[in-house]
Amino acid sequence: MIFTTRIVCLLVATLALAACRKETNADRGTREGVFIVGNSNEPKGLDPHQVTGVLESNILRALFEGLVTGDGEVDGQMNPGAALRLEPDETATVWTAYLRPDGKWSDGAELTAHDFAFAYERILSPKLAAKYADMLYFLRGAEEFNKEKTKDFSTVGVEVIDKHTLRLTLRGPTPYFPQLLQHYTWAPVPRHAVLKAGKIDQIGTNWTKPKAGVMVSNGPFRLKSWRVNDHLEVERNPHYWDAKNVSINGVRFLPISNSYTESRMFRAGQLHATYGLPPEMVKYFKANEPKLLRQEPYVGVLFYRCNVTRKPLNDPRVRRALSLAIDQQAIIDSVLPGYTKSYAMVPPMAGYHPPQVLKFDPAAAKALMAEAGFAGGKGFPRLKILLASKETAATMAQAVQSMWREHLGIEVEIENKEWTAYLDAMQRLEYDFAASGWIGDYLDPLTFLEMWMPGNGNNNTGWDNKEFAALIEESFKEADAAARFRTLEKAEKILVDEVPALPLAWYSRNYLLDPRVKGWSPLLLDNHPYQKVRFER
Amino acid sequence: MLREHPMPATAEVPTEVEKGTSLWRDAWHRLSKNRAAMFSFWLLIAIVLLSFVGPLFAQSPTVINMKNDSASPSWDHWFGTDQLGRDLLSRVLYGGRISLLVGLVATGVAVNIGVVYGAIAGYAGGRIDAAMMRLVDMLFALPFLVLVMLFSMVVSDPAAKLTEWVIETTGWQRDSVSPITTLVPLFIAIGFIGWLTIARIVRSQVMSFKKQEFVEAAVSLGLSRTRILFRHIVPNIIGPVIVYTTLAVPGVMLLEAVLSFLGLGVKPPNSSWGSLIKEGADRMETNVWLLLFPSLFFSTTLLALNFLGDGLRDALDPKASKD
Amino acid sequence: MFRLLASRLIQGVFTLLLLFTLTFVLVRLMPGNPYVTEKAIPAHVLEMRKKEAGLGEPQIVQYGIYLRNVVLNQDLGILFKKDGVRVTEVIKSSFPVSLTLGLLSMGIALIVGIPAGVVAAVRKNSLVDYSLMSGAMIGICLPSFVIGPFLAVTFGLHLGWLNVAGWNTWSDWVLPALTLGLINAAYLARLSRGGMLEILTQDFIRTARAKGVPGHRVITRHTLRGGLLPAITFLGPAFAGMISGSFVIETIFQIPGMGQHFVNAITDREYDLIQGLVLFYGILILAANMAVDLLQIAINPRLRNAS
Repeated sequence: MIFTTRIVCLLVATLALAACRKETNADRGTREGVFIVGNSNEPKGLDPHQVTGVLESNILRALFEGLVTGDGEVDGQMNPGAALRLEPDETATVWTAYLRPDGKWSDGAELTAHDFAFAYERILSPKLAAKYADMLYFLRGAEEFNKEKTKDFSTVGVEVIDKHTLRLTLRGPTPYFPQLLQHYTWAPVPRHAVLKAGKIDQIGTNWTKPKAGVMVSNGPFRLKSWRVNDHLEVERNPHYWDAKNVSINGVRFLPISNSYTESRMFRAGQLHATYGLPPEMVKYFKANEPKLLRQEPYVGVLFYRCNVTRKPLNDPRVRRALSLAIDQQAIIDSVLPGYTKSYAMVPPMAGYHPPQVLKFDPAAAKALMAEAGFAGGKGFPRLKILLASKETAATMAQAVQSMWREHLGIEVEIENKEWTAYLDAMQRLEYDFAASGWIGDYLDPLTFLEMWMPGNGNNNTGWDNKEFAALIEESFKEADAAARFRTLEKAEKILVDEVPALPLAWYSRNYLLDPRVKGWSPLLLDNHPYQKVRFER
Repeated sequence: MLREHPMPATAEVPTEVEKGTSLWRDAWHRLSKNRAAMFSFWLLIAIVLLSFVGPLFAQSPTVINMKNDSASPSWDHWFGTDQLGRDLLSRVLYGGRISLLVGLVATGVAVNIGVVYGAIAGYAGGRIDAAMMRLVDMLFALPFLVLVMLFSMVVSDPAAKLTEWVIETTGWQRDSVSPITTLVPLFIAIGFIGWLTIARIVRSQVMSFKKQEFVEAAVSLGLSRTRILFRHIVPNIIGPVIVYTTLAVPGVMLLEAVLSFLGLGVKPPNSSWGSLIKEGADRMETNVWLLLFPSLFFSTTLLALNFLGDGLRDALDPKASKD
Repeated sequence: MFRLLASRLIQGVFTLLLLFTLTFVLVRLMPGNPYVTEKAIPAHVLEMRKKEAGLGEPQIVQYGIYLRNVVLNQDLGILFKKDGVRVTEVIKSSFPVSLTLGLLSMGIALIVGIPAGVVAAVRKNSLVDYSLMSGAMIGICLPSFVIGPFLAVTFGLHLGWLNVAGWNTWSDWVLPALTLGLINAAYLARLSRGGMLEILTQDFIRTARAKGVPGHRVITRHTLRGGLLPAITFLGPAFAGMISGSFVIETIFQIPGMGQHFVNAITDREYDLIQGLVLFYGILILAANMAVDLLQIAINPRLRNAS
C-alpha cells in the first residue's frame, strides 16, 4: 500500500515537473524559424517520380524547384525558378528554357540541363512504372516512349542545347505550359545521386534516403530528418540560388491523420498550421477565434458520378433532372462550410468563363423527369449512392436523398464501402451514383475536362461523347490562349448539358493558421512557396 | 468437528421439513440477496426495453436540422442534438439496439460453439482432446482486431448481397435490415475467435465432472455418450458458462466500439453506442452531452453486466458458504 | 520441463504456419488490390508494377516464394505503395516505440492494479474495497478513445502541463502510458481481487489464521502465489497486445508505433506488410504465452507434473 502511494506521488511529481515547461512547440518554432504544419498522412515517398498525392506535393515543393515557381500571392503567375527565362515559339509548341548559371544541388554540384533531361527520361522510362508519367505526355513522343512503342528517348521532345539551355518540344500548342511546369513531376532530379544509387529506371533505389549523407535536392530546403509516422523535417538549403531571401530555417511536417487530434494540437500550441478542420470546429472558430481561421477557395469540385451504362441513367434528361433537383446551397450550409455553389464543373479561373447552366430548379427537374417517362417518380428504379465511409459524404448523401424524394418522388439508397473497396467498385463501374471529387493538378481547365474523354482512366462513368472528345482534341491545336479557352468552354457546355457527373460544390479549404505566420496568401492551388514564409513575433 | 458428543436433549427438533430445492432455486435465492446484482438485473431489463421498445415513441434519429446543431438538452430534445441537429436521445436508443444485439448475438454464437467444442474435447479426452486443444492454442495466437478487420472486408460484398436478398424476400425496410447485415462480419469474426476461452472453461469443467459418480452410473446404465454429455454433464456446467457470457458481452461491445472508431462498425447514418461515443469523444470540447449520454448508457450496461456476472458467480458457486 | 519446451516450440512453428496461410488467403480475398488509387494509373504502368512486385503470378506460386523468403532469408517482403521500403524496416522502426509504450503501460498496470486488487480482496466489502473496485470499473467500462482524449484535453489543453500528442520528449510518454496502463490496471485489479478471494476463502487459510500466522504473512506467503494466477494468465496476451501497439492510442496521441502500421496496411492492401506484422505479432504472443506458462508452473507446483 505504501509502495503504491509512493509511486502515485512520483507520478504526480513527474507531471508537475513537466508542467514547468512554459514554451509551446509553436513558440519554439517561431523563435527558431521552423514552420510546423499538419500534413494529414505519412508521405508514401519523396521521389517526385513515384508519388501522386497532394500531401507529398506539399513536401516536394520545399525540396525541389522546377523551371518555374508559383507566385506566393497571385494565382497562376509563374516566376522564374531554376530557369531564368522561358521562351515559347509563336505556336507555343517549342519552349526554350535558359537555366540559371549559378544553379546548384544541395550537395554543391552544378544543376544543369542534363539533370532535367535525365529526370524526364526517368519518369517516362517504362520500367520505372511511374504512376504519374502521363503528366509528361504533353511532350512530343512521350506517350509512345512510355508505352514502349519505341526504345529511343531521342524521339521525345527533350533536347539539351548546352549545359544551361533546354529545349522542350510539345505535341501541340500549349500556351499554358508554365502552369504545368510548376508541378513536381516536371522537377529535376540529381542525376549523379540517382545513378549512384542504381540504374535510371530501377524501382525502389534509396537515393531519397542514402545511408551516408542526406537526400540531394535543389529547392529552398533540403531533407533534415524523417521518422515514419512521426515527423518529416526539412532545413534551409545553403546552395539554393535565393537562399539569402529565404526567411525561415526549416519546415516540419507532421502526419496527423485524425483532424480532431490536429485541431487539439493546434490549440495546445504544437502546430502553426493545420491541414484541415472538421466542420463543427469551423463554426466554433468562426464564432470564438476568427483570426485563426482561414477559409479559402480551392481548385476542386465535388460531384456524383453517374453510371451512364445503366438504365435509366443513360438518358441525359434523367441526369439533368437529378442535377436540377439538388439544392446545392442547402448542402453547403449544412455540411460544407466555406464551399461555393458550382454552376459548372470547372472552378472559377482567371480568363475562363464556364457556362452558367447548373442551378436549383425543381419545377424544371420535375418536367424533365416527366418527359423522360418518370412523371412523379413512378416507375423509377431504386438506385444506390456509393460512398466511402466518411462522415461528410454520408450526410451529403442523406441530404441529396431527401431532396430527390421531395422534388422528384424517387427513392435512392446509400451504400457505404471501405475506401479501397469503394475505389475498386467505382473503377469497375459497379455502382449507380458514386460520390467523388477532383482536385486540379494545375491551374487550367484542361485538368478538369480531359478526364471525361472516352477511355480516360479517370472517367469511370462510361460516358462517351464524340463531340466533346473532338472539341478537346481541337483545343490541343490552339496556340492562342483566349481562343483555346473558348473551345474548352464549348466542350464544358456539352459536359454540363449531359451531366455524366452531377457537380455539387466547389471546394474550399478550411484550416487554422497561427497569426505570427506571414507571407502566406490564399492560393487556389494551395501551393504556398515556403521560401516566402516568415515569422512575425 | 467431532461428532462424539450426542445432541443435547434440549435441542429443538425442527417441526417443518425443509423443502427440497434444486441447484437453480438455491442459486436464485442467493442471487436475490445480492442487492447489487439484482439492481443490475432489473437495470439491464430496463435498458433492453428502452432500446428495443423506446424507439417507437422517440423522434427520428436521422433527420438533419442544421439550424439546431450541437444543442444542449432541452424540452424538445431531452439529450440535446448532435453536430447535424439529429435528436441524441433517439440516436442513443437506436444505437442501443445495435450494441446490445452485437453483444448478445455475437457472444451467443461464440458461446454455443465453445460449449460444444469444449464439451466434446473434455469428454473425449486423450488424443482427440489433445488435438482439439492444439487447435485452440493455435487460434489464440491470431491478432483478434486484425482478423476482424480482414473478415469485415472479405465479407462485406457477400453481406451486401445478403442485404439485398433479405430485403427482396421479406420486404423489410433497408434501414432496419442493413445495420444488422453489415454487422454480420463482426458476428462471424467474433464467432471465429471468441469461442476459444469458453471452450477452455467448458473443457476443464467437463473433465472434472467426468470423474464424478453419477457419470459412472450413467455409463453403466448403458446411456450413449452423447446423451450423457449433453443431457447430464452440460446442464451442470451451465453455471460458469452463464457467468462467462455476462462477462464476455461487455468485451464484445467494447470491440464494436473500437471498430466504430476505425470506421468499420456501423456506418452512418446508423449509430451504435460505440460510434456515438467516438463522435462524442472527438467533440468533447464543443458538445460534452454528445459524449456524456452515450457513455452513460454504455458504461451502465457494462457495469450492470459485470455486477450481474459477479453475482451469478457467487450464487452458483457451491462453495459460497452456507456457513 | 525440457520436453514441454520442445513440444511448445514445435506447436509454435505449426501455429505460425497456420497464421501465415490464413493471413495469405484472407488478405487476397479482400476487395481491391494494392494498386487501386484515386487518380487512375495508366494500364501499362499497372502491369509493369504488378510484374515487378510478383503479383502477376498464380497465388500458389506467390505463396511459395514468400514462404521461402521468410524462412530462408528472414525477408518479410516489400511495400507496394512505398518503393524501396522493406517490411522488416517498418517493423524495426516502429517496434521499439510500441515496446516502450507497452512496457511503461505494463509497469503502471502492475504497480497500480495488483496492489489495488489485493487490498480490495483483503478488505472485502469495506469502503476501500468498493471505491477501488468502482475505480476499476471505470477503466473497464470506458473505451480508450474516451479516456485518452479526456486526459489529453485535461492535462494538455486546460492545464497545459503536457503535449496533447506526439512522441518526442519523455513527457510525451506520460498520457498514452497512463491511458493504456490504467485500463489494464483495472482488469488486473479485478482479476487479482477475484483470485485472492478464491484462495482466501479456502480452508487452508482458515487453518493458517487459526494457527496464529500474522495477517500480512498470510497474504504474502500463502495467498499471493495462488491468488495472482488469474492475473498472470491475463498478462500474457495483454502484454503482447500492448507491445504490438494499440492503434487507438497511437491515433489519438500521434505515436509512430506498430498499431498504426497494422491498420493502415489493411486499408492500403499492403499484403506483405500485413503478413509480416501478423507473423511478428504471432511470435510475440507465443513467446508471451510460453513465458506465462513457465511462470505459472514456477508458482504452482501442482502443474509441474501435469504436463
